[in-house]
Amino acid sequence: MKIYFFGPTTEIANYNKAYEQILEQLTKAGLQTFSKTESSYVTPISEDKMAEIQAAGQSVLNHVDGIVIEATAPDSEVGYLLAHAILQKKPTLCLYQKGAQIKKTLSHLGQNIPPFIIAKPYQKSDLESIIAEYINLFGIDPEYNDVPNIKFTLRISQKISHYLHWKTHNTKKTKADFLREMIQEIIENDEKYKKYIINRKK
Amino acid sequence: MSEEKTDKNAVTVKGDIKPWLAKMPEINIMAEIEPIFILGEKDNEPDLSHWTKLGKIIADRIDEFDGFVVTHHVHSLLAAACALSFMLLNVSKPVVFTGSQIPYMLAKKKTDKKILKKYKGLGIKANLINALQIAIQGPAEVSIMFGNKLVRANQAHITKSLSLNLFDAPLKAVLATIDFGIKISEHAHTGDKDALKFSANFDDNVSVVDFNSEQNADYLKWVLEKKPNGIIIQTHNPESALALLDNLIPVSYDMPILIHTDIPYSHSASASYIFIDNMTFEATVMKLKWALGQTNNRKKIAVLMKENIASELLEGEE
Repeated sequence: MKIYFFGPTTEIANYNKAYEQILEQLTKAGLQTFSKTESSYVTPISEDKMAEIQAAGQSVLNHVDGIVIEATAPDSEVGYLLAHAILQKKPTLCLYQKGAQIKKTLSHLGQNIPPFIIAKPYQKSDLESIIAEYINLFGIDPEYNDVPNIKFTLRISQKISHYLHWKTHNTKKTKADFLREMIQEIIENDEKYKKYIINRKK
Repeated sequence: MSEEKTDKNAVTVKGDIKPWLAKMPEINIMAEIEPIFILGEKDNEPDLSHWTKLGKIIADRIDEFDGFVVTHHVHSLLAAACALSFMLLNVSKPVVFTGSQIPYMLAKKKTDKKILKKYKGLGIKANLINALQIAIQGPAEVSIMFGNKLVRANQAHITKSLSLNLFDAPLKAVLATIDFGIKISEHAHTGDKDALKFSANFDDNVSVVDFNSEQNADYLKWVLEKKPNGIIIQTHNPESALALLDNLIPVSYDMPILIHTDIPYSHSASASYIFIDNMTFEATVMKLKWALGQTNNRKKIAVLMKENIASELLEGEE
């Protein structure tokens, strides 16, 4: 899932930390996020694809799966992104902190806020559950998301490395596959974890 | 601008605008919009009288708004935008033209509805959303927004590709591109400007003779008999056209004659004709109409046509 994150740069010093926290939570939830800074855009869309989109005159937003906006700082781009999100029916999470004017902006929609737009006030402690709610818009429960799309760097000893090499040599499995399957097996046999998940859903 | 142009959602009279806007609640979250009606979708093609009315409204209310979006028939949009660029010199707010590239008749055929579906949300309403955002934060000049490109109106041309970017312009006249947001180009007009100069004096009595495919002497003779106040000859071969013109144009003829070519450096100087190779054809036509509205002195018109009045002169790429 490719998610475009936007946080206004107008008051970046005040909100940078909040943006980082949101991005961290989105990544933790298994979403591939990207955002823009004032000087550069880092996107998961290849240069060739971008050139193709530009030449066709299309909207790049049509090539992402969802949009997340931190809308506390006032910025005209928030309304602009929301307009495109509504137009293109993109699952969108609009987060804001106390005192934000975004509620006034959204009030222009009256009762017509589409179901694929979630607008929520948040605190750091709420982020995880709000993002889980957002992910439901895609029909994916983060706890059952088995797509290995989170990059994880792990330092291992020579001994473990030697073992992994021996174990996967001449098999069709990679070392990463072997480790993933092993962890998956542990999860499936972990009754304590299963109970925790059930309680959390309650 | 509506996606399915039925009687129900077309803007044909003033009272249609509000319901039409109400169907697009997403644009109301971007800005407070005051709609102004000039001409309905089903009326005749707009002309200079409508554009003058439009220019006057913008000039009179320039301080009331952050920017202006003009939704216009595509066929004459370029001419309209060029006219406004000369009418509103030193404009201090963005004036953004946009429209729908879906032809009016397309929505009527069942098979073509597939095309409409394909374009839905990408080419039509998206143009309006992008144009609105440009009106809020874009460059203070007359521009055209289609697809993902904002171009300077008087340097724009219609593209011949099947792209949503219906209009294009040389690199230095591309004022913004759109990816995840609007990226304003360094070539866009910013900063302080002189006071707005509104001039609605245009002389519409200008004839165009196309020598690109054939040097039609009979047609030119017929045009000369109509006594237009200015003539523009379009040609790819100015030298050859010049030879023909010398034989056809009476020495006593004192109206300005422009020779427009898309091929630069392809002509020698002439005292009798004004060569234009650094302006789009549309800008040339509108600029001549504007220049004739400012003066009837042929020499002064020649000077005005060479002067960069509204950033219309095409610059070479560095």
